[in-house]
Amino acid sequence: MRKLPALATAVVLRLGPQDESFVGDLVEEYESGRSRAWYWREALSAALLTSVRQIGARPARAFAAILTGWGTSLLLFLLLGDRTANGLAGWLWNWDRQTAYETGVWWPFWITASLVSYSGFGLSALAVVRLYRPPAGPMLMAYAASMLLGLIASSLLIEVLTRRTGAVPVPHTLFYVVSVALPHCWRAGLLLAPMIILVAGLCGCPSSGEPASPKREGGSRQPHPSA
Amino acid sequence: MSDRFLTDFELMVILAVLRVRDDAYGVSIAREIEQTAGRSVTHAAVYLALDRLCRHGLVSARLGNPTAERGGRAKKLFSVTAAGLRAIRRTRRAFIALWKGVPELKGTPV
Repeated sequence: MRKLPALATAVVLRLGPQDESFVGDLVEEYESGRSRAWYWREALSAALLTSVRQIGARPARAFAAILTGWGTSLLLFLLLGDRTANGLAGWLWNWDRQTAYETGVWWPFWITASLVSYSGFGLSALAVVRLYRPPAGPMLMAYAASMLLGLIASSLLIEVLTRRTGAVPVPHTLFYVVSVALPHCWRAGLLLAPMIILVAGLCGCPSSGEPASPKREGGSRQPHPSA
Repeated sequence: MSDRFLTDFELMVILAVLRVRDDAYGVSIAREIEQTAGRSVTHAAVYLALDRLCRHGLVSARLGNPTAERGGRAKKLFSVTAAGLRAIRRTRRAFIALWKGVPELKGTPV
């Protein structure tokens, strides 16, 4: 038996149609000689189509999941972010903010602030998948997509304001989110933040099982389990 | 019971279920569409269409036996219900009615 692409299978089980038979179909096709690229294409299209459909069917729930994700990540930063990033930079590199204003050495803070920011994104994703299941996967996709759109908007805003004023405006309270969109790292941050949300969420997302059991072959015909 | 019309893709899927008959499950339905209609489809799109048809009572599903080649997972076998057959006829009538009387399509077999 060929080894299935593990990550693609995890994507299908967590973000695809919550149906073991669907995974069985993909396994059967893969065993009959389909390529890894084919398997990945099926996994991603399953995640995307299922998410679009579930979000469309539950718009209020998706909106609540997005608010929860953003709220959690901002709250984590406001309560812990700046303090943790300062503390970590001081502990690792003997860095302090007062000296940084004089010397202009900010890289230790940038590193720890990014670590704290991305950990916050991961934790907020876990909050979304824990609070909104089922279907956790599509709600996670909604949150990741909203973060991608939010960061694109932040990047464009920063770009426009920087060109107009010559300075990089960073509202302090939104630093946590906006920092990943800053000019020197926005290209990585734009994709990295949603990717971390997806990966952390995938780790915390429950894997699909058969939600209900229609009768086995030979039994009377049953409606679809997801009906 | 549903009086809805089928979308073009739902029509393809439900016709494929009819054509494949006893062994209509995700893989065989997708292959039937690709081979007969020449349309490339993803399994997810087929599954979601089948799920929608099931919810409207146009198709019914039952589980087969798990097999090793599927990693121990069972097939979900589909069949068209009486309501599904009515929906196919209703949709066909609607398409034919729209088809007729279009000068650009005159002479094209229905």
